Amino acid sequence: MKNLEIYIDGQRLNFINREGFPLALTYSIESAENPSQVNGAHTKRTANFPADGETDGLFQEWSNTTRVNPDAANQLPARIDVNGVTVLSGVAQLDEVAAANAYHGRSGGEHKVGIFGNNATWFADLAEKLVRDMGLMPVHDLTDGEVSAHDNADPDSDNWGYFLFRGRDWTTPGEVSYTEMQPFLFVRAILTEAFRSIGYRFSSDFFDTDLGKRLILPVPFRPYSEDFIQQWSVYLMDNENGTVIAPGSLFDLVTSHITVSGNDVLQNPTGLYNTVTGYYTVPISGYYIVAVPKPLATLVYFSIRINDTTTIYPIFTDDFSAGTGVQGRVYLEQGDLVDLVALTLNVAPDPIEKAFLYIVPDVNAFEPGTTVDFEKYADPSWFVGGMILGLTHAFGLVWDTDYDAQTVRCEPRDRYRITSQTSFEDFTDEFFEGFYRITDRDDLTDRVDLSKDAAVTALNGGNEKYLLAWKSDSGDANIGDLEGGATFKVFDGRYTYPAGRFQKGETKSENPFFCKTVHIFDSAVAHSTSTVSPQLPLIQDNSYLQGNENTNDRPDFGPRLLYFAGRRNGFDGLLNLAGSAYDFPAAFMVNYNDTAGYDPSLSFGDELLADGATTAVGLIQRFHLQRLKRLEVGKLLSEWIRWSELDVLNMDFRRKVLIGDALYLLQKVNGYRPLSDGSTETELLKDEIPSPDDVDKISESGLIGYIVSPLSD
Amino acid sequence: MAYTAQPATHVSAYRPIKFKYDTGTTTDLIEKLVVEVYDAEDDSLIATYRKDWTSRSGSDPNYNYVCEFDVSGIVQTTLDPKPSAKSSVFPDPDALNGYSHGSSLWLYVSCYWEKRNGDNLLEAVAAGEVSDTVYAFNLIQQHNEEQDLALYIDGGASRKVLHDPPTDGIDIRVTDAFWLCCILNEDFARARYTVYHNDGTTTNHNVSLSWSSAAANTDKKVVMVGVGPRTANAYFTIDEDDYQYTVFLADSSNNPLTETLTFNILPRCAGRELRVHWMNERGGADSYTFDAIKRRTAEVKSSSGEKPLNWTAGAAQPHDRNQRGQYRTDVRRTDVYEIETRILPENTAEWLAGIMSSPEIYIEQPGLDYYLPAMIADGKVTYSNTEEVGAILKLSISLANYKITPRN
Repeated sequence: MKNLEIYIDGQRLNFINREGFPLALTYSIESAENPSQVNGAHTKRTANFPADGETDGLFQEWSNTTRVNPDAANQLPARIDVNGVTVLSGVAQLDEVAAANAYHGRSGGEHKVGIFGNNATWFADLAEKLVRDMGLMPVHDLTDGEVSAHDNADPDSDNWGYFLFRGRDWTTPGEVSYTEMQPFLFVRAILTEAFRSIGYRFSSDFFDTDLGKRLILPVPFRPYSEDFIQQWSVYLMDNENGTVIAPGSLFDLVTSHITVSGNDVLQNPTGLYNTVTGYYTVPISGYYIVAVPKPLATLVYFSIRINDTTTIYPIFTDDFSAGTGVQGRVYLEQGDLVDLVALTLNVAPDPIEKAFLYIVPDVNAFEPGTTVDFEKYADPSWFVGGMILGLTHAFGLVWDTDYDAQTVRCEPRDRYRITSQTSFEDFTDEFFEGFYRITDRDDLTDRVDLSKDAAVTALNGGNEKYLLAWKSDSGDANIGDLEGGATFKVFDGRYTYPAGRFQKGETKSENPFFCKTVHIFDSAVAHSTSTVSPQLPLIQDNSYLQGNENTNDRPDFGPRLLYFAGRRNGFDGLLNLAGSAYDFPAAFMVNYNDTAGYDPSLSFGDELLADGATTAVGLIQRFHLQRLKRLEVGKLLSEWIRWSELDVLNMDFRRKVLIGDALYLLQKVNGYRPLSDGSTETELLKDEIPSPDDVDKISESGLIGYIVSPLSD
Repeated sequence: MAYTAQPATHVSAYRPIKFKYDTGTTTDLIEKLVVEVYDAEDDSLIATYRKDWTSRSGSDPNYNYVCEFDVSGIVQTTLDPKPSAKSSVFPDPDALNGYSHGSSLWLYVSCYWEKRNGDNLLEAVAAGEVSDTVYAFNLIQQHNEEQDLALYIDGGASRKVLHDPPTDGIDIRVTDAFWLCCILNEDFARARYTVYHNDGTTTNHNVSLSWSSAAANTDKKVVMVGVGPRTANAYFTIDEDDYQYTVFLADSSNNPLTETLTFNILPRCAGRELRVHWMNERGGADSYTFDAIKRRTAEVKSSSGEKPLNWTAGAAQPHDRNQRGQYRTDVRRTDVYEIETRILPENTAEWLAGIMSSPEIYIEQPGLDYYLPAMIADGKVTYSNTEEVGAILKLSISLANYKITPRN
């Protein structure tokens, strides 16, 4: 006889029929490889609890709909013990309470409670978190000093830094400046902070490797988020203003301040426009769309004035709102005071009847000196959950949650190799153990239940070709220029299974979050002493090759993933920083300047580097090949294994399973019944390791991921 | 790197054929062991395996990896009998001798370890190392016998035959066939008979044997020699004037090379006999004549269909009697024999019980020169409740092939 106990929120619950409790638990690795699939690990189970006072009390008399109990159906920590050993810990949540017949009405009956655990507990929380809300970057001013202090960020001590990419034409042809650099966040910092914010500790050997800790998410300046712009826009209109404007003289324009009280239209959400004094305080430097009334027939013109001194005139040319007004785009400095003015030439004073002033930020350039507030400009569609799925796709990560210890660990599936270099031939070349351990294994040979038939399923369902790709950013014309109409695109990699077994056709697996980034050899801004043509990321909406000018626009880009090499003493070339040589902080997906092949490559396929001889090994070979090899061999064993409570407690999908002389990956324990001594159907995938022949099955598009600039810009 | 354990030289294919292969102390990151199984007769590769190491000892970074693996599966799939193959130890009833092609396999394995190389890919540590040659036989399935089959292979009068008859000999009629089965490993020149006549005299007879070139003297194939009276009568006479004979296989100087089999001549019991040949648990052929009760029944199963009938308009007899609406199709007839032995001594019954676990049986058409493949449908050894002490074997045998009438 086994003794079952269920605790919810620290309270031991009674349950129906202690011995025959219909409890079957499924443990699966599936959701660990895709944390968005909640139905995987520790599948949600519904347990029934009796209609007694204790249960009813725990769930705060849920069956009485009139009781005010807003937190009764909240997720509560739960665990299930069998003979004192915890076989499941996770959270419990009330699903339903039967309302039973009590002769005077109804009372609480059986309680149905869902119990689930593992990744399901955190992924939903993270899916809602925005990257910009992680508070990783302080509000600061975009100045040379501020940028240069963060132009060689250290992933071990910094959360963010500045780096250089080409997003528009350089302000001064032939040179770069600090304030043209752009911020980025370290991916590891985002993950650590995101998990911390929901109460978990994040740990990963992979994100402590040189590659993992130096992965960055560029957060380039972009138009301020619409939600903030809405806050800063003012729309004011009076239908009876009453300001009496001063008469103009014959030769001079006379300027009269107009206060718009907004008695007709008043949209001034954060009070930037003072309706008493009639001044608008500029919240952020940049361009603003301003609309004012049309000139009157009586030679009265309308405009705005900055800090009571500079009157903007005559730039209001565009017709606005069916001829009632004119509008224009004006550059305003943060803190400027702006007011509506009337300009009169030789006319008599005349009260203005209708007056209006609309000011809408059109901030898409971060000018030197501006205050940079990451929370305000960052893309409001970049969620941490999406980023996790993107990283999972790129590096084949597996996520494992220890609910008790509140720890989330992620590692690439299999043993992997990381190479990196701090300067030429000063490199590290290391191997790391992946999620599935190499030598640590469970020998279950004696635990097999031979009385039931096992089955070895042939996994033939896949397509013959498997394509791994980064997303293409439709806002980046240069990627399209390099790819043309190709279907096998820049940085794509493809694994081709041997013919004859799998379905014809191709499975395309595109990264759900990150877009690819191409590069430019920008020798136009190289310093004269540079021995290398500097390679910069090219994240620009206009086509560089077609020579479109790109000066001011800061459009919106999809999220990118780059390897941040940092400043490497000229290894990546020297830029002309206002006349002096500057070993800029390099960041790339593929470093085409590398002649040793040690810099990490974020291309899925292999890339031939610019020296025409060196190859940068791609992500498929580094992180996906062993899984693909396992699927190529494709033998799934359904075996009956006798698991004990202790095994389940210590169940570790990281440990491979040895049965006889064959090694397997534990995939799923299907319906383990803690109260039964029988065997449980267990899915195991035959483990395989790729050999050099398998590398030949990987192909790359052959399209280059860089553009070469002409020598002069 | 070395084999630290290997199977015995002669093994059964139906028990594990296990090797143990060891890396010795190494700092390599060992992952897999590639095992290539070769047919030793022509050095052809039969199958390749990629095994995982099963244990390791030592401490970082010096480890000793061991893989213990079994190749009996590939041997079983290579050897007879297979249900669809024409198998093995039942040649034509009138043949003198024959051999079974798929009765043994000489094999060796070649192993090499694979480690992770600098590219994180698998790489062979060294060239393959070849094991001893192992002879695997399609016989001996019991767990209570020794794995080493030397008693069946090594020469001299004590070489066991692939039969285990009751101690008082095998009962046989003067028209019956019987196959003596053994493993050929020497120059078997003749079958030597000693016939004991009812008058108390004895005569010896030799029947010369010759083997096809494919079955060299040392090739360790299972051979079968017809030693029943039916075969012997083609060379000398065994009839109801004799009460017993013995037979063994001998070299050209009549030195025995196998155990001796003893047969007791019984009178015919006309009309009620059914002779059954079966493959015994050692892979040899045994036979026995059931002479007490024989009932033959047939069961028929069929499907039926129905078709529309013509109706001749205006005719006086518009119905066409040659047409039938309902008809039979897919008619399958199964012939079943219900047979029983007389009351038998218990050790004979025990020997005969082997028939119930045999994978392959034939019934002999008395006097005809072919066997019909059959299948045990049911069987039981019961004990007589009469004054005569002993056992009775009851069997229900159906023919393995339906008699099919596919359409009408």
